[in-house]
Amino acid sequence: MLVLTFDPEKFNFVAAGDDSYFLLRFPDGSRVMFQDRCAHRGSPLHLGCWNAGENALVCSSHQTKYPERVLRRQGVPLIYRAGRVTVLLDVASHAEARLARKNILAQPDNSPTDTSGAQGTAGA
Amino acid sequence: MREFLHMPNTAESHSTAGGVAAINAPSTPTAVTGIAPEEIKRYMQLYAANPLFGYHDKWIISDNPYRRPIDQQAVTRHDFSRPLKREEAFGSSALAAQRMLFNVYETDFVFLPEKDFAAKRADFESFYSNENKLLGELIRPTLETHLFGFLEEEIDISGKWSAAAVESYLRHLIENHERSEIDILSAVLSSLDPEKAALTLLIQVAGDFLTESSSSARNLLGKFGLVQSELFKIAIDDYGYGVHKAKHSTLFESTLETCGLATEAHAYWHFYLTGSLALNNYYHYVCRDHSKFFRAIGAIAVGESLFAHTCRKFSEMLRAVFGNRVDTYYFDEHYHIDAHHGRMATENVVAPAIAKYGDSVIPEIVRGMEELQSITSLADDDFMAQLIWADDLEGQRTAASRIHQSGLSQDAESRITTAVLRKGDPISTRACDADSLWLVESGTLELVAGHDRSIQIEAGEGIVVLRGRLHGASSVSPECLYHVYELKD
Repeated sequence: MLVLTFDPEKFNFVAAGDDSYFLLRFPDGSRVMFQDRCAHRGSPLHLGCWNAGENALVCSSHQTKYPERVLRRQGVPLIYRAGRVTVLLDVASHAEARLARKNILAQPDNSPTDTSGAQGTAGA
Repeated sequence: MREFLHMPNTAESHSTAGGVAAINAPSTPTAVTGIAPEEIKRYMQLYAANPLFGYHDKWIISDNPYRRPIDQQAVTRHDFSRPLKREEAFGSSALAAQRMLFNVYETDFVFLPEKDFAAKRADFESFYSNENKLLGELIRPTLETHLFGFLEEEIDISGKWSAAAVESYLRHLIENHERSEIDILSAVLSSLDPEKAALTLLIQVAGDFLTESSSSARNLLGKFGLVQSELFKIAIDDYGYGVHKAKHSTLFESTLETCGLATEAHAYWHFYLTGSLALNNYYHYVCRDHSKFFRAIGAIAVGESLFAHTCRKFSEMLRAVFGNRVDTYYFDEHYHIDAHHGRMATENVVAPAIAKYGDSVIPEIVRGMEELQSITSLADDDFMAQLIWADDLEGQRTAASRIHQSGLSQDAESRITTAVLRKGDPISTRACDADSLWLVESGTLELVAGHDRSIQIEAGEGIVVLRGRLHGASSVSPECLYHVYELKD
């Protein structure tokens, strides 16, 4: 497994191996990282939207829903401590990882997250 | 009127050291104990008023493990009903609460003096009395939330964890740790006075090492199968298989002796930093409450796994500072055995626990790993800040002079206190919530920043005591009059 630690204020997107992952921040300050691929047809989930009424992420392609409890339970193993996020990605521990900041349309509080276009590369 | 009052070291009346009979019925219940916060506060004041926890007459408390001063005035003035923030972790409230909580926890263990038990029998009986233990138990949940509540906010665990992920994460932590310098050891070596800095560090760890593994031994009894037996193996090693000379705390006593330090439990109570107390208390916090069992084994797995490398570097540091006269066997033994203990805690405790009790226990295990790192980092920060301040007492005297000469009104917000100390007055150490300026009007004041670390301030001179720094004062002259001002940021 690849262990990555980063500042979630700077980065919210990781590409490692053949997969990519996006970070969601909930209004209570907790965070989950989820694979950026819908289980239905593989669409990028970070381009979905948040349905506040159903408390679920909705895929933009075919409206597949991911309730918050599913995101929390099925997300990438994640630790948030003292302003830093550590995630364990199921790729080789020596794999190269690229960190970026993207506009996560599925963000629960709908706050704009894009903008800086920050990018970085991280190893284990 | 500021709530903060920096009081002089004067003897307190302990006539209120009361029994449980004095406690009234609760009014507005709290969630944990069902007792109103104001009642809990009153119990704290009763607890702290026990003469055992009152001021002492010497900086080193010789061979009386029951005498453990708490800053009674801080207990009276602070609100313990809310969780502290991380940035408040070294303040006056935190120090008083950590001291109380440490005393509460340690009444579960047997402490006996080395000599003259008869003369200390009354203290022994008071320390283990039902009154002291029951009051302690009543205030414990509030103190725990006050001191460790911030961890709930600071740490969040999510996602689909597996035993393999835990193992990968732990291995990652160990590899990172073994590649890194140990900041507290580097700080000792770069101190202006490495010998005194090393003694300060030994004193900080003595509170734990002299009672080796007592906190984690809380999780040995009961009935929980294989994991129980594996935890027992670690404890057996720590206790030297019942051979006193091989017991780890005995080995540590030899380290202390060869460095010229006392070996009695809590002889240096006055000089335990808030962060060091926090680290000790954290282990008790998760090991005493068995609903936190999985958190505890996570913390122990990280602690045991990282301690091996720390011990190797600790041993190197001691030899660099003290040369051949120091006995480093305690650390050399841990370098060897904790490599095994780390593996044992991971492979034989954490992994079997996950296999048997399911993945749902993993977030608690990982939380324990993170909480321990968070508290360790606090303790390290506290130690290094104290070292820098204690190294710079002359500089702080110069700073005081500069502030005084530039006009006090511009820098000082308010006078906190004016006090008269007499030679031989009872002493204590405390920490302040803001930087303060001490000005001596007459006599000579000794400002103490740790064991064998002090500076004398003459009439007309002053010193700056930084926020959160542990300090005490005594009068070198028959009498000393001084003023304390709180400084603006």
